[in-house]
Amino acid sequence: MSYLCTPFWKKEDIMFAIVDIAGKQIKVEKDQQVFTPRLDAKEGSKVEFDSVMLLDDDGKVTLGTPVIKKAKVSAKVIEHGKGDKVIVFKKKRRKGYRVKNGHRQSFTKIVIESISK
Amino acid sequence: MPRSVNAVASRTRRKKMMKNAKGYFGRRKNVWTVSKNAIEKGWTYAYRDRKAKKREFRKLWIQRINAAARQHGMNYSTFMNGVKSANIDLDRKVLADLAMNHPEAFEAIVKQVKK
Repeated sequence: MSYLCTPFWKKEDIMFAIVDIAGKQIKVEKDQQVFTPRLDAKEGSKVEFDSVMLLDDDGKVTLGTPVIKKAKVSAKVIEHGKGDKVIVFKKKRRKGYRVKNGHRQSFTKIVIESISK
Repeated sequence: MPRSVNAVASRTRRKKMMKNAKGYFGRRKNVWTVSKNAIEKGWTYAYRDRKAKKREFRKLWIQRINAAARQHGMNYSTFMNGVKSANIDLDRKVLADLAMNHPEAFEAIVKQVKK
């Protein structure tokens, strides 16, 4: 079928999965590095995600209802980190109300090692 | 009695704040009374728009899903209803991504939905 818009990259023989990581659905490929919400695992340790919702092996699509049984994505934790600082500032005029806080969201950087069906 | 002012402290206090006005246009970057308001407004808008951004993106995803669904002879509403009743739990972000970059995967979903 035709594309809605030409993908800026279209690789051959790709396999990707859509996996639920800590409440966020993320499209992952092998060897890809992704930022996820903070995971409860040590740096350098392995993590497995078994809620794979869609698998696309070069055009052969498997759909989960809602997850694919037995399919797994395993990854390695590279590091835990914090995002850039965001200033939370609220103010009400003439009411003497002012709040100023800084916030840094914590994340985990992982590398996808394998996607198994 | 000599008059004493606390110029050192107030200068540092203002300087600390003015650091945030770097790159602003005209007097917004070096006049305290103008600068202060500009900075506070900026932070307020940033706070508001971090939330608005989420709505904006959801809108965009819906438009993309709608366009893709219409290529398969459905509209957004029936498509999403079908997705839900087919027990597919993909969110709009992912569906829009599939519609745009992986039409084969989107087609598979449509097939499942039409069943």
